[in-house]
Amino acid sequence: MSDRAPEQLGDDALAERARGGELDAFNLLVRRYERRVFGLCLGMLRSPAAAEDAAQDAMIAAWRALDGYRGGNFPAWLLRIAGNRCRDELRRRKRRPSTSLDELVEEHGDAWSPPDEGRSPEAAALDAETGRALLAALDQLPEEQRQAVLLSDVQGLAYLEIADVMHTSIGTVKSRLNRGRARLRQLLLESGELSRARERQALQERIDGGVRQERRRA
Amino acid sequence: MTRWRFWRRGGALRADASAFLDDELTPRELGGFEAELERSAELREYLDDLSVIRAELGVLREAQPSRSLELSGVDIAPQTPRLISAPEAPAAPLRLRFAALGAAAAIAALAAVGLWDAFNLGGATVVERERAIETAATATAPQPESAVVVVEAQEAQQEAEQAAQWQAEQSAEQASVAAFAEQQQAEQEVAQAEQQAAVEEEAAEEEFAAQQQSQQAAEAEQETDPARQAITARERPAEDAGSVAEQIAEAEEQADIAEQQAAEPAPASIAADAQEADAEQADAAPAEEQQQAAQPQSAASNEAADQSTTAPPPPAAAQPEPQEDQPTPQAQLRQIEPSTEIVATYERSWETPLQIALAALCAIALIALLTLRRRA
Repeated sequence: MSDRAPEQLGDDALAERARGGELDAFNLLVRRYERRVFGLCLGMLRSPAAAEDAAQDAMIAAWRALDGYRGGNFPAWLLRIAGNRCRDELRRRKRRPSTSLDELVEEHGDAWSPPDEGRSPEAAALDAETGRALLAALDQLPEEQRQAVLLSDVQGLAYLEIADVMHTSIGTVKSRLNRGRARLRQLLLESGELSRARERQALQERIDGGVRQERRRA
Repeated sequence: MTRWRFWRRGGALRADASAFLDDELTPRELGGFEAELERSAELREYLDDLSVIRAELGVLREAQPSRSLELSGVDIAPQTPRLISAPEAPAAPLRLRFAALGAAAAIAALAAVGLWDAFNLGGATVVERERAIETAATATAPQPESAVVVVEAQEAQQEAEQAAQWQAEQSAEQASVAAFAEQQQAEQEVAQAEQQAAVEEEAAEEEFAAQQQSQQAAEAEQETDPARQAITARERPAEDAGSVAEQIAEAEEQADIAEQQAAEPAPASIAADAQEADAEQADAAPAEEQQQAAQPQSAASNEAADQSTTAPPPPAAAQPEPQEDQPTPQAQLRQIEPSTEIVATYERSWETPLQIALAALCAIALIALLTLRRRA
């Protein structure tokens, strides 16, 4: 065992300790990756409450499946478990078609909005609106394409990692990403959200450029 | 031109644009794509859109749960106790409840019939079987002629029949085994009687031969004594000698009948009874002959003639009296066998169709239950 503080240990070392029964070591891993797991679940399930439940279930399932972790890429292993949980939840929803996703969102609480730390109310509102529009568009994608887009554009995983998480080949990942992004673009174009996003980014670039000029002058 | 090229190779270019955004193009693919990107404004626009979408999706990267996802001891317990009771499930539809009730009732009835069968087929003891035989024999015994006694006897007979039927149902299997054993015993008795009849027949023939010799000797003596011959000729009836011969002939005939019956396979105890009775008759006839033959040779006189003429006929003396006082085992067996047949008919008549009907009802109810649950 290493003498370093648990916070300084790597994922595999913490997983080894957790496998020995140290819940605190596992909770360190949870704190490291809970936002990524929650982000994936939110993109998959759209509802924040359902995403929290799925993420919590994924953590419990990961604790119970620690013996099956052979080392390597712990976040990819954890995201795979979370993705499977989300897909199970989506299948469960499909078996009850009487409840729409909008009803589920209302049932589980307000739609998700990004945290407004250090942002103006206008920017937070814009981000919230963008986030809801993005989640609505993501909801239109097939599960595999949605998961691939989320793992790539939100989680920042490489194709090889995505292929590992999704139990598929790199070519399939590439294809799913291409189709998912094209479909997402089409949906955002139809809703007008893409043009608003362009304007927002252009404005943000101008603001960033002005800030840089001010810094240079200063 | 560039727009036409973009849409002609749109699929491949879009895929390359997506991979270009993720830095997943090989150097060769990257060179071709960058050349195409410089030529095609449509491709540049498409790539810009993907970049915007990717940046927008980054908003989700900032998402964080409203509560910590860290695990506690309760979460990792082998069986997490349910601290909050689950909301009560809505009441099942009325059809579902009826189907469930019907299925439960059918299963219970089926189980009850099965248990009843199990306890009735194997529960009879030897004592119960003997009591059933005794009751059946009493029920079929000859009834007295008095009116009051006849009524009581009829009631007793009915009760005995009911008891015999009930007990015979319980001990049908054991009774059949016992019947087979008794049947074998009866066959052995018949065989013994047959052997005894043959031996006695031989003895009767020997006696008859001895009697003839003694008669010849007496005739010879009478021929030598004219006075005695005259007395004999006057008092002795001419049929005396013939009556003895007739008795012997009847005994032989009965013995033949016994042999014929014994030669046939004994299908039932009734035949055994008849053979036994015949054998006893055959036993009685030579006994009478022995009594007559045991008389001294002076029986050729008047006394001998009177005894021979006043003696009861052999068939009457051959009636087996013990059968009337106490039923033989064969008679008991003969009385039990119909009860066994009644049990078999009784079970076939209602029990098997009832079981089939209950099983069908159970299956229908279960199917209805499953269907309704699936719909619910």
